[in-house]
Amino acid sequence: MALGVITFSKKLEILARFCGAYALILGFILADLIAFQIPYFQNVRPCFTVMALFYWSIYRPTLMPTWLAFIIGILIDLLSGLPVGMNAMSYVIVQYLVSGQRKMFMGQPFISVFFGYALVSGVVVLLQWIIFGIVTQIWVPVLPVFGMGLLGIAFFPIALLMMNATHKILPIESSAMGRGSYNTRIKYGNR
Amino acid sequence: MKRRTRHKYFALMAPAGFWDGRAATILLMLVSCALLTMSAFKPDAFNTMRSSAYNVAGPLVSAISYPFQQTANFVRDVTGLSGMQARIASLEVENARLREWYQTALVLEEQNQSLQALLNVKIEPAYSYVTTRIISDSGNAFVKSLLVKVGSDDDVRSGNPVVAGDGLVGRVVNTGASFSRVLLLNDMNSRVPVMIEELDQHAILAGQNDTRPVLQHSAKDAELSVGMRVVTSGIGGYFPPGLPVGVIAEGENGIFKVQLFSDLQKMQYVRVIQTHEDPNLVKGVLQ
Repeated sequence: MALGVITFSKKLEILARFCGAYALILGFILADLIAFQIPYFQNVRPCFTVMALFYWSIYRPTLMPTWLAFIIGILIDLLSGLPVGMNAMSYVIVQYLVSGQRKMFMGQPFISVFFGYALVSGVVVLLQWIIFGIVTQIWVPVLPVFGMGLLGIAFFPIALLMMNATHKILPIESSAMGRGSYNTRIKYGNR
Repeated sequence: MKRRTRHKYFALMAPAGFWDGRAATILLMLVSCALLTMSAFKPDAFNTMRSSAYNVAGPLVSAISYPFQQTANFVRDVTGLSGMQARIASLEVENARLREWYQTALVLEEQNQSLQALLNVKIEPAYSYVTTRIISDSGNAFVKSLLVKVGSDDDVRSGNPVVAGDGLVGRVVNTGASFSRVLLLNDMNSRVPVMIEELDQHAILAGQNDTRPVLQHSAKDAELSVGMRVVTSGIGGYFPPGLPVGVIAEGENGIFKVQLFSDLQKMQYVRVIQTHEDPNLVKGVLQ
């Protein structure tokens, strides 16, 4: 197949592959909202959305642009009863910081990515604790907040497996390494 | 290959790569700061947006949470088999005790009615309830709240008390057409006027983002002790008087915590009490 020639059926296939990735992101967002009915889980519920944010900001920034991170944050704030803007701001900051360090994370082994996420998780929960405290003037106990971060770190390997599997079915992106440009051309192919 | 082009108006509004770059990040951070500032000074400003979000996302969240709840029920049923025999025995004892109290309650009810008629006491109207399923548990380290599958279409209003199992759970704080958010008693923003039944002492039940809220503003000479029942006092007009809340569980340095009757960790269904707005209560500065 000549480069750049994409038939209608191929376009549908590419669309289906991207839908799979976005369905996984949606699944992570819903995991932050639904009632799992696990005793005491709600006190230290990890932030699954940050896992998706971290991974796709490194390996596919066009899938998780800044404006999408902002909108997801606003949505979670509205549905959770949190101050509107709290998750939005923390997600935008995380997305910017992580995508700026893509070159460092690309091609690194699992352990490096894991420690990178551990650091990001700590930053996110601390940022959310500070924002919540400043906005509401209520300083919640720090221990459950860090419990959230630690549980997120524990769940990250499972989430990473799922996102890796989804990433393999996505078409190869032809844009240069960096933030991704608007006029990215999609080249059909498998990883 | 035909190059994909952007609409000319969009190209004028934002140059290529704008929404992926540093400028977009700074702009969105400024917007977030503005939203947070508004959340701090006027938290009610987003009520309409929240209601719309519930209406849009509620059906999806409800559908996704249903299998998890069924799984939790199954696990609970399976793991509960081992303690079932002991549970049956304790229920039989409790049933026998309650049957004795039933006759006493009938006699007391008749005496109460005749005394009220004698004193010409104005009886408060009975409340109606609507039972609903919990579809989302927004609980985390910051907020303790639930999303339930009833809203303004079901005559549920902001401020309606919510009960489950044996006692009070919280109150409705936001309503959409078909979904509402319930603030739980153990949330840090929750303040409920209560009364210690044995002493007729008033206090405020304050959430601490913990499993057990604390009693505040009770009289200094009140002799509170573990085991005393706590019920709603009805002051403020939001909660009907006499709703069971919990029992005093522990206390040190003058701070008493309350063990709630309802198990907030295992609830699947709650009842919303459809209280009606009291025309004598005027909304003031403190809401």
